[in-house]
Amino acid sequence: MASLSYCNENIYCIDDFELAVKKLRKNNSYKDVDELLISSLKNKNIDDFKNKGTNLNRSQTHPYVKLDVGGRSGFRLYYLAIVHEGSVYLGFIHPKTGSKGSSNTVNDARSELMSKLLSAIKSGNLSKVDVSGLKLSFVKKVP
Amino acid sequence: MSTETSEILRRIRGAVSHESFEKRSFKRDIEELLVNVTDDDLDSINTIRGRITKSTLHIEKCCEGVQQLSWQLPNPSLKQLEVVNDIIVLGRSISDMCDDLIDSLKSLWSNGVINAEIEHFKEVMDHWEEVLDDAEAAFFTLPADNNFMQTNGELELL
Repeated sequence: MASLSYCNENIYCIDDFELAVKKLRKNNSYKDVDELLISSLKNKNIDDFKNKGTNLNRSQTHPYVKLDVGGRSGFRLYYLAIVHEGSVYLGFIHPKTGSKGSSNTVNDARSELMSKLLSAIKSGNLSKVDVSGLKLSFVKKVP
Repeated sequence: MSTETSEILRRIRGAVSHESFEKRSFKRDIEELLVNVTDDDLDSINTIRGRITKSTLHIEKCCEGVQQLSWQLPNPSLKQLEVVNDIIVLGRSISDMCDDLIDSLKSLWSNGVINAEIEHFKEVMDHWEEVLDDAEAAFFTLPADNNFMQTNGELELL
């Protein structure tokens, strides 16, 4: 039974995230990216986005989180949650291993990403992320 | 420091300290077990397998504990930060010991013995290093970054 407290309708992303997912889909090594993301995002309430991964800004109300998705050979996902809105803003995802794999994100990039998330939220330059299908779909939000 | 927070820090520091102690004795025991070990010496191999599996589980628990600190300590005091720093320093020393440990197990993994357990152990140790880097970022590096803190201040107003 659907719960009103699920965040499904309040998941957004910035362009960097959408582009990263679309690039990963083209690579056979990362074909599970949609499945892993959907299992991490779908039918979760806002508390499910808290207390997991590392809370990089240690905020209780607006946590900026780095979360491992898909275990050791999976992906690093960065998102911002605004707890009182029940909203989640996806910032970036990158694989840990494989041809596009990379080491841990440097702090300058994390800082820049948080700044991009803030700008996008303020300007409304976001896409709504639909988690109801087998793949994520993105619909540009009308500001 | 509140009793609850103090307890959380004490518990995680205790777990990391314990793992550090375990690693020292583990390396010593492994070196003894590996003297004249043969393929038929299943007891020794199974003992090593068991120690590796146990150690892997402990490190996974330490990973969760250290990640949780970023949620449990929103406004750490100086004293709390000192304990977090101790945990990170001690954690890094475990990583160094594990690199040596994996080297000392070379005679096994290079011959395909208990490869899966050693491979998993290495993956967990890589994750442990990343968790420590992230904790250092959350408690020390990012709070010292003016741009990050300014953005964070603006975010909190949303």
